[in-house]
Amino acid sequence: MEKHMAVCPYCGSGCKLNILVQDGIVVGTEPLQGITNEGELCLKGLSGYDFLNDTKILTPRVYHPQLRPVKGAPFERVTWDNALNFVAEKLLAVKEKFGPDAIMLTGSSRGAGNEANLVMQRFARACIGTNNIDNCART
Amino acid sequence: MSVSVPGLENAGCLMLFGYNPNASHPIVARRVVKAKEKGAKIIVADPRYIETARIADLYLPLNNGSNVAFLNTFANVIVNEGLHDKQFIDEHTVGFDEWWKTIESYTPDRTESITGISPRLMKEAARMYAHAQPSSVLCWGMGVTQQKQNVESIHTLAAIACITHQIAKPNSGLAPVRGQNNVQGSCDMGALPNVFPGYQKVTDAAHRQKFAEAWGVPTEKLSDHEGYKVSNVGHLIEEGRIRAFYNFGEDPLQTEPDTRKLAQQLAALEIFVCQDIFMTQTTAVADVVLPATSWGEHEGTFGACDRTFQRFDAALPPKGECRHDWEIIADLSTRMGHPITYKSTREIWDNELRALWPAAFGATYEKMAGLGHAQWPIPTLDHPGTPDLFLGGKFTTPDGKAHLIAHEYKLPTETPDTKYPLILCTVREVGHYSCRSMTGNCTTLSLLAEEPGFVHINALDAEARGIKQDDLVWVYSRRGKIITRAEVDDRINVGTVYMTYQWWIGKCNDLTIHAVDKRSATPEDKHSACQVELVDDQLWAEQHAHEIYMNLKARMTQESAPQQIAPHQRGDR
Amino acid sequence: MSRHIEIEPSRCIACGTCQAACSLGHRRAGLQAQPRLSLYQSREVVASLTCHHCAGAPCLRMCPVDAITRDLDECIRVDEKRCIGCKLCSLACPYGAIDFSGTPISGVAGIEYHTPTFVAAADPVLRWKIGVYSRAVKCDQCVSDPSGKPQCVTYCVTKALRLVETQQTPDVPTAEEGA
Repeated sequence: MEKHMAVCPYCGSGCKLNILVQDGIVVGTEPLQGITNEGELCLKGLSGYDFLNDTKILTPRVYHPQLRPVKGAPFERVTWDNALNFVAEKLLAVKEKFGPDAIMLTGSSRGAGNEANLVMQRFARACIGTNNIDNCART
Repeated sequence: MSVSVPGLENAGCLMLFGYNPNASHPIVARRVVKAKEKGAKIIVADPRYIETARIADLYLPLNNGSNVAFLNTFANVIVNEGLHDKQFIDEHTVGFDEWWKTIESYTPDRTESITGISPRLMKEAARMYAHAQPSSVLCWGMGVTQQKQNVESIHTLAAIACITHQIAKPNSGLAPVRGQNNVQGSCDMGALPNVFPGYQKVTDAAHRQKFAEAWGVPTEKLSDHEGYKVSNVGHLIEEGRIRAFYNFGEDPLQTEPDTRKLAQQLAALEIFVCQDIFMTQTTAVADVVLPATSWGEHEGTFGACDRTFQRFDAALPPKGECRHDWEIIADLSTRMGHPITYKSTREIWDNELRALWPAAFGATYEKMAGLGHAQWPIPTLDHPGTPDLFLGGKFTTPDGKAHLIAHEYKLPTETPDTKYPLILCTVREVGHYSCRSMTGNCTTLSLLAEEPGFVHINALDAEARGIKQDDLVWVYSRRGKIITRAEVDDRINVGTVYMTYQWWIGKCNDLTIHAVDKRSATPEDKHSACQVELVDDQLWAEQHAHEIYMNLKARMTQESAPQQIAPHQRGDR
Repeated sequence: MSRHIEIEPSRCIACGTCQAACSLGHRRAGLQAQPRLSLYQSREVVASLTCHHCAGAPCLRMCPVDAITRDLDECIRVDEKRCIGCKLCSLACPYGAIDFSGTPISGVAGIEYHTPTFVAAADPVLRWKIGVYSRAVKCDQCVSDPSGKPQCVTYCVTKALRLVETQQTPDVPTAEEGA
């Protein structure tokens, strides 16, 4: 069984834990002696791991880029190139027509991590040219 | 937080104001229990008799929506009883006399009818808080921030800590305990409309120049005014000011207030991009879905509620075509003419944060290896990190002093009336998290609590409506009507019902009012008017709730069904 | 030798970690995932409740198929395979410590596509689901767990739950050693 160190993805307590993996399946977590949790985990840290196995209990994971070629059309799976070029083209068109402040972006306060937020706010500011970047700190 | 999570258990007094750690942060609640066992006094001010109230030395059942009146009175009692520290006020604060002009009239006798707290209890609590040795901590949560007068309450909370000198020493001060695992982190990283990473203001030309140089763009490319806040996005779309929305890892159609209205507003966007790991109610209405790796499939750092940065590793390789969040955004940025070419999270961390935010320079990946951590401010490589802020009374204002600000009390936006006689207050559920896309897919957590969720209702309110425990009920407001299960609870106050916000069927955000305060744009999720009614045919109700839940799940599966079909090559647009 | 699980209510924060740990442990052992503890919450006291393993256990006497047995260490256990789901033990239990759970033919919790046939507000003993063979589930002190320790005790965040053993025998680890 493999053990991989992580920080719990749920509340802001910052609990250190190991993710236990067997044959590519997450089979559990175990608490570590982190600074805030000192070897304890609550029910979410202890049993909130198996969404990683794509259980589809509530809703499925998304594994491939998909888009609606025109507004309101059904989703189609596309390649990454198609998806990113589509987004780039649309965002540039909005920026051209309405200015950079017509584009809103968010960071993510959840599992994405700090580095993804750093890149996102740089993208908003340096590439789009707007400060319309925010995160879900209010809800 | 001015104090660290471990430091809480060394305080002499913890006052929990609008904060229920047992539901939102069990691992912090554990510190409260330990503090109590070490001899700390516990004060709980909350309309609900929360778990901590049971072990508290004093419990103050204040009325919903009366925070500013309560805090002004608390401050008034402190001064009138001579519990304040005049020397600390003189040396480390400004504006006391002006502040007192507002606070002076909030005597406990006058405000009892608003707060519901007797003068005797108010005085006892003020004495306990102000006299506690070696320190007191004011802990708060969404019970303060999701109110109409949220910033006002926080100004007064800070003022109370300052006038009593229950700040600026170890294990003391203010503890707004952040909800999501990286909400402190993403704010630190500048995912805010007014600041670059490290709270460096976008309106400051020197900061813009520094970041423009680091990013290799002309300074004038960087916007010199603050951006919009995401909680206003619905209205901004309606007004035609926002035309494109790139939503990264959020599910606003579950978590934002008045979701039915928001869904209509989102439909008017020219382009709506969602970068997520799950098909959610929000990604289902997007124009483009970008699949990202999940927690457990990538590495990086998180910032805990007490400013502690820690590293996490990947446990699994990316699934399908999922890419790391930062890779997707960097790729897009490169395609749009601003190349971002990082190869690892460490590179991003070192170049985008440590190099540009002096207070985080010492937070190296090496320091955070294994069980290591780095608590900012941590300005140098050999700095140990800073568990306690403002030690010695040095504040982060330009003059280094605390500025005391007071506000008059105002009524909440929507108050109960004959048609909607109950207050609806949204709260947290211990076993599920945020929009529930993660915990709802966990076997054990969904076994412990499932749809259609619960509305907590006092026994008297339940009896008046013929409602028994576990009955299915309608809850409706001016915004919508939903079905959920009654949890008859004698620990909550009469006249208010409480719902948690992650249920798809018992969805409280179909009911909540979308009113945000001007300064922080935080929605007033703690105070909407509603009514609760028993569903006559309970078996029909069970079947109905089940059916709409299954339909919603089926819709998610249907919207992600194209995933199963290999993409046909589209001409490059 | 007897052992039982005790709770210190002033430490309990009603977080439900005991229930999650119980569920995880029993699922791992191939048993019903229904937690064997329930949370009692009132203004006066909050505590997680589970089987008392009574000396004169009425459930033991009620079971018509001898699916309930008393072990050498005085622990009352249900053999889920032998249980016929008659619910007599649950009616006899003065503490409501016996619950019923079964796996529907359509799969585990959450992905079942059933049509509700009962009102949830009904007494738990009266609830039934089409196609589900419900069995009695109750605390077995995690006898099948490799650690030999009740999982609720191991993972209790505030150490409100503890395992109390009397007349220690040398080959059984003490609560401290087990932790």
